[in-house]
Amino acid sequence: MLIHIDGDSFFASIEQSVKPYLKGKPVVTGKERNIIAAASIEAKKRGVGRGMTLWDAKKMIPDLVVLPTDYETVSLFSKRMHDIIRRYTPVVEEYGVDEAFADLTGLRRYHHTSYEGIAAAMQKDIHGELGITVTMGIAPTKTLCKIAVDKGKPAGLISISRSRIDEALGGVEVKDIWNVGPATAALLRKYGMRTALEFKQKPEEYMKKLLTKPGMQTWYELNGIQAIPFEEEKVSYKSIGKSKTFTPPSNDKEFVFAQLVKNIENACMKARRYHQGTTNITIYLRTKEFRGVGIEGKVERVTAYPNELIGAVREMFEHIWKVGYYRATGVFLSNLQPLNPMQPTLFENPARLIRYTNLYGAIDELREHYGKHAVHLGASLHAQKTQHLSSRGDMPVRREMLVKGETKRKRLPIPMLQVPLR
Amino acid sequence: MSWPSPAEEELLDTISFDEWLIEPSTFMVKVQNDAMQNAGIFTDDIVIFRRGQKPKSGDIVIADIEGEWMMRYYQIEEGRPVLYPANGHYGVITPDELTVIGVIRSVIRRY
Repeated sequence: MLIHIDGDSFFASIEQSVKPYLKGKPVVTGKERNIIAAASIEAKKRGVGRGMTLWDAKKMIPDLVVLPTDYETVSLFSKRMHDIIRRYTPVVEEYGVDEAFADLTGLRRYHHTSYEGIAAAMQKDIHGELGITVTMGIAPTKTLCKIAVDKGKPAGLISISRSRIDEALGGVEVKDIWNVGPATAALLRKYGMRTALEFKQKPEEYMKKLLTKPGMQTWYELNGIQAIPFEEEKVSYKSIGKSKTFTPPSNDKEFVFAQLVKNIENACMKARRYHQGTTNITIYLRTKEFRGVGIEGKVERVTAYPNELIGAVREMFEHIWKVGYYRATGVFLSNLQPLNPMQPTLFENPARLIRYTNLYGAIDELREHYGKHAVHLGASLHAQKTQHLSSRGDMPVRREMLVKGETKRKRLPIPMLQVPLR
Repeated sequence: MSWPSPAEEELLDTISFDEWLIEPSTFMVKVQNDAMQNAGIFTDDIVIFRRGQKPKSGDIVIADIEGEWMMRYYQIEEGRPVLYPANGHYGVITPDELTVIGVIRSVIRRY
């Protein structure tokens, strides 16, 4: 049997956990983007949800508590949640920050309890130690686990045994099945399948004519046959991505390019911190209408220095730029490799390379002293100004509540209770 | 070929400060008053507490009393929890309702 563990309103619940005076209040995160990233159960009950603009949400809930996203604290909680799950089984797939799949097969005797008993113990540990709730779904396959979790939200524990699959699938619409996209859902409906049960009960040969491999995987999974593999390997820093939305959207080409360059500087900074460099760079632009356009480029050798990338990036940018309004830019550095020692390519002037290294070493040091963007490329100047204006009040509390010895950039990896103690 | 350093092997039996201080469910909180000063906990100290741990009499706890957050000694008297400060300027509290958030494990002070 597999289990799916899903944090309830994860980002918002974590805020309520470290700021317990917010328990029972409508809380949302995403202040820095003006769009709701997560809503607490109380906010959801009053009609506010993910993706809504803050402006709309505040109209619905005047006493709404709006917070910036605290990715650092979320990451600490995420790691702890996965660690707690690992106390019960070694086979865990971290499926995003707030979700996991785990395999409980064969562990009932070891834990002296049923699958439900194991799940309840995990749930209790997570709630007791982290102060957040999770929903659990137990079933023979991942897809069925997902359906169980949907039924159990929030804080529930639902189990679908082999003999009760049909019962569980009756009320589930095909569009709500995990991994079923709008196109597949429309196709299934066209062929008279409205519910997951109707889909599941169609003969295999019939479905094979209709669906491609991923669609058939879902069909097998609904029939209790594991078809989606378990991925235990944790995704490491194989790529680094940085993107930023700006408001209002802009049609100023150089401004948009500046935003892109700033993302490249940020991504390179992060790569250097992990002593990694890249040869593959992907850039993308997102239009006002949320359409995305991207392009991938390759440079001749591993680097983590914006200077060396900017020429290539400008070419790529010219390639995809079309007149219009844009709201976000982003960059991906993929195929990361160790940065040191830097191997100069043939015909290259090694002095140049060393000069770059030193230059950026100095910039990283300056940043420690004067903040992140003390020194940056001229090309991103445009973007620097807006960052400084908009970032005020958008900073998670934890960044300001430093303990002696912490810096704005580095803090202790322990969640901090953010309440005034009397 | 060279012999492995004996120092390496001896160090296998040591633990890092992290391992020593941080348990799976530890959180930290900044002390903002002198209510526990006679217990050696002062303003601006960092307290490491274990969230979700059941308190026993004599523990120092972080507790929620009807929306007020405090750090106090926890005592059970006649079957009821009582919160004692470690400073004569603060009163003893016998709350009707009390939620213990965690139990203090260590205090850190950087000079």
